[in-house]
Amino acid sequence: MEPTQTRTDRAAILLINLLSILLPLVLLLGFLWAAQPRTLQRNDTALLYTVTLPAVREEYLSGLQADVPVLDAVSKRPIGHLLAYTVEPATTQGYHQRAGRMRLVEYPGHKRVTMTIRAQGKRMAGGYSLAGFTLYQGEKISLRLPNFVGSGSCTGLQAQALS
Amino acid sequence: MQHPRGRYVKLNIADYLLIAVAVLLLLALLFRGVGMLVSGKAETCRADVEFVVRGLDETRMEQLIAEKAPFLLADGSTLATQFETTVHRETMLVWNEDGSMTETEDPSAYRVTVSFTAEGELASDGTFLFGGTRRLATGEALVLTQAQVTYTADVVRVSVRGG
Repeated sequence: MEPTQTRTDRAAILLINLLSILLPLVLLLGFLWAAQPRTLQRNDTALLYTVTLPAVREEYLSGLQADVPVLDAVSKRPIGHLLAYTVEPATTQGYHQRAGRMRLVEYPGHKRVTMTIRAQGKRMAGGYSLAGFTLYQGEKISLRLPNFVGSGSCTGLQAQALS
Repeated sequence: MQHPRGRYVKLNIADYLLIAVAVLLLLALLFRGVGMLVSGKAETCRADVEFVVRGLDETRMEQLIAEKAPFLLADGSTLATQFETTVHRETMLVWNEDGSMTETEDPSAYRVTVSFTAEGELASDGTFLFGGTRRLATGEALVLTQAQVTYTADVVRVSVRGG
């Protein structure tokens, strides 16, 4: 600033300086905030859903544990709380040569795991929004527990509106 | 800005950039601090980790167990420098006439289990975090490099010792 400027001029320039820094910053942060996927949503529905993992190697079962948080394996966002799980023999299709037909047979070394998960979501057209994706029955889900990673499909979904 | 001799001077583009970067850094630190306060400080701990490399022929199996070079993750970070290896015969599934399957030893393939101790942190959701960000859990698929050779492996055990 030139020495001949008055005190008012100096104050005005300082304010402009400040605005010219803060305004672009606010715009930038606003743009970043608007561009990111929505993580916060107003949940209006209590969900109880089951995910079936059709064939999990038996050696991975040691990592399973109930009463733990469940994350979406892709986005790492929470998608509920694992209440319980069941382990049953896994099956696959086999060909009975003499009978000439397909039949369901046990898949050695593998188990079918069904997980019951409690969550809160938002009702959407045809499904429920949960941590950024829409949950339907039949939806493929990759989930991550504290010491277990696996993929399966949503095989059951119960919803109850939150008051 | 205040000139050393007590007079105000005009800000140039470098000054604006400097102030903008400083404000951004300050905001980032602020958010980081709040995030740590909200999520809680991660606990440092050790974990016994095992991963399995499947379906190796004899040459590659011998190469793997003789090699003492560290295993690197796909991003170039080191997963294990000191480790132990255990060799098992690989198994294979054989179809029976009735369509069922039987698990038998594969005479031409080997499975190598690599065990090591990893240092990391326990995330707030209970997951073992290796190297600050890399989650390790049972069932996780890894792409590893050792002495210019790439292997695909599955994590079969993550046993956290304490925190």
